[in-house]
Amino acid sequence: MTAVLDSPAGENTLPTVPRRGRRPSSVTAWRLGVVAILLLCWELLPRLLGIPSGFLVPLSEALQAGGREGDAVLAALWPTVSAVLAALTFTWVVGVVVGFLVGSMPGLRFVGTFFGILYAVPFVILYPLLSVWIGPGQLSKIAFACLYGFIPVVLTAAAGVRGVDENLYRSARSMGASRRQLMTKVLLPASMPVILSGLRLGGGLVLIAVIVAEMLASTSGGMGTLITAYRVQFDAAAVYFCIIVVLVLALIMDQSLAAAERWAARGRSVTVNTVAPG
Amino acid sequence: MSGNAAMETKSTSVGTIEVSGVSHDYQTTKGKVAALEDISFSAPAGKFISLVGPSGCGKSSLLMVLAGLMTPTRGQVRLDGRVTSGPQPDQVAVAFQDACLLPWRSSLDNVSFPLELRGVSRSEREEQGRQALAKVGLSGFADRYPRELSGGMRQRVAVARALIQRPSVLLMDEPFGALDEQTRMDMGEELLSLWDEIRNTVIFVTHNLTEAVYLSDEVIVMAAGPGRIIERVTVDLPRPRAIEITETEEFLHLRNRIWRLIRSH
Repeated sequence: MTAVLDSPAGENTLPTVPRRGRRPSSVTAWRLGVVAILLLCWELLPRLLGIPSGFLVPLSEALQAGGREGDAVLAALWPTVSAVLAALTFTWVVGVVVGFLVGSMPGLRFVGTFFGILYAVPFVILYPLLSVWIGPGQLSKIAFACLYGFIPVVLTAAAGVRGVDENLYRSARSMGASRRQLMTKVLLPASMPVILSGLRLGGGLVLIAVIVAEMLASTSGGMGTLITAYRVQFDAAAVYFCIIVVLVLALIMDQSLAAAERWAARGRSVTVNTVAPG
Repeated sequence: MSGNAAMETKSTSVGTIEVSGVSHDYQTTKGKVAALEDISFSAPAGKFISLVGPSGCGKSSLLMVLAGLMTPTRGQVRLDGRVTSGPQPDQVAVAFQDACLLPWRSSLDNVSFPLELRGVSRSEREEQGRQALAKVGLSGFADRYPRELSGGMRQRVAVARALIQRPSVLLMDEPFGALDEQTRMDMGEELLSLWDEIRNTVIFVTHNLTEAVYLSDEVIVMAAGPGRIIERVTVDLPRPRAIEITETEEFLHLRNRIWRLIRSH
């Protein structure tokens, strides 16, 4: 009787799907190669074309400036990083919770619409107000960044939850899943890849907002303030070094989220691939 | 794990279904549409019953009502004499047309999901899950994700997941509808040999008449607009049935009779 069952009859055509794993090493080599060429161009082109160092500073000079201004940069790093971390924690935690509720409760749909409209507002105009209300320190920076990153996290999380296949939900219900189990074992994991892409989006915006706030008015230091200071001093090399530092910060944040996204999307054909705003 | 063991655990539930006066209306922009109108029938325990009919006849809606996933506008469903509301995971399992596997879980974790929902320990889940996978011929595929399986294999996982609930009633909504003809008949044959061990009540929705006659003890023929039962056809072909039975005169006679019934409405 089980003889029929032991061989999956009539099905010798298994779809060949790449198993989880690293991408081929040739791709990695290509990527590194492209980066190396770009860096080389950065170093050589300004010298070869005689571009004034006020416009484009060769890579080596930017790095030398980093050595020269190392202490100032280090001192500026913490206010920026701590503000980013604080704002990220708030936007991610509160944003995902709110987005999850908005997405799973039809009665709260209007909140999503409201946030959608609000998203069109250029929040930069609010920073001067915030700095007056809260004072131009860390706190106003963090509040501004939260405002900036919150909405895309909410909207993406809500869309992710709403996009979950209703049949998954129904079939889990037929198996006796409680409300809580439906949330934690179906809705949340099913929407996780989309939620994470929202975190990436929000994360990018938080970083932008903190730097912009520091450039605009903050007196609490930070990378934005430092960049503005070097710019005023016409120290192009130091400006470029600061830009490199900020880029590295952005890369670290984005790539760790990308890795989380890949993990959450395991077993799924859809690979969510959002480019963080910048 | 034998069918007998499964039977012992459900002595109080035998899987008799009584549907009485079930109607369901949908509200659309053009007014009320009757998806189901005054459906009544009873399914004795241990029978394999198919629901057939043209699309729009409400056969899937009726199945959702039986599953407790849809509350009908009027009427009620009794399971072993008790009026039910909502899903009854201890007695009723449902298999859907698209296998409805959770894409981030391996076959094994999908199959044992109903046990996880009941709070069964991990080791127990794993053991039962492997047994259930073996029953549908997928022992070697426990660690595969759904998208790494063919359509037929995904459906086997879904069947194994339904059977792990040890249901006295198994509801199947066009479970092989998305498969090619060859795989569909293979799956039907496998389902029958599994069912021969368990002999629970099965309500099987399909639009494939050959499949319906081949599998069932009784075929309930439905018509659309409003969805209603027009005839109940008893299939008294001997069991166990080999696939060759589909070529016999008796079989074709029954199949054609149902076909004419559907055409005439």
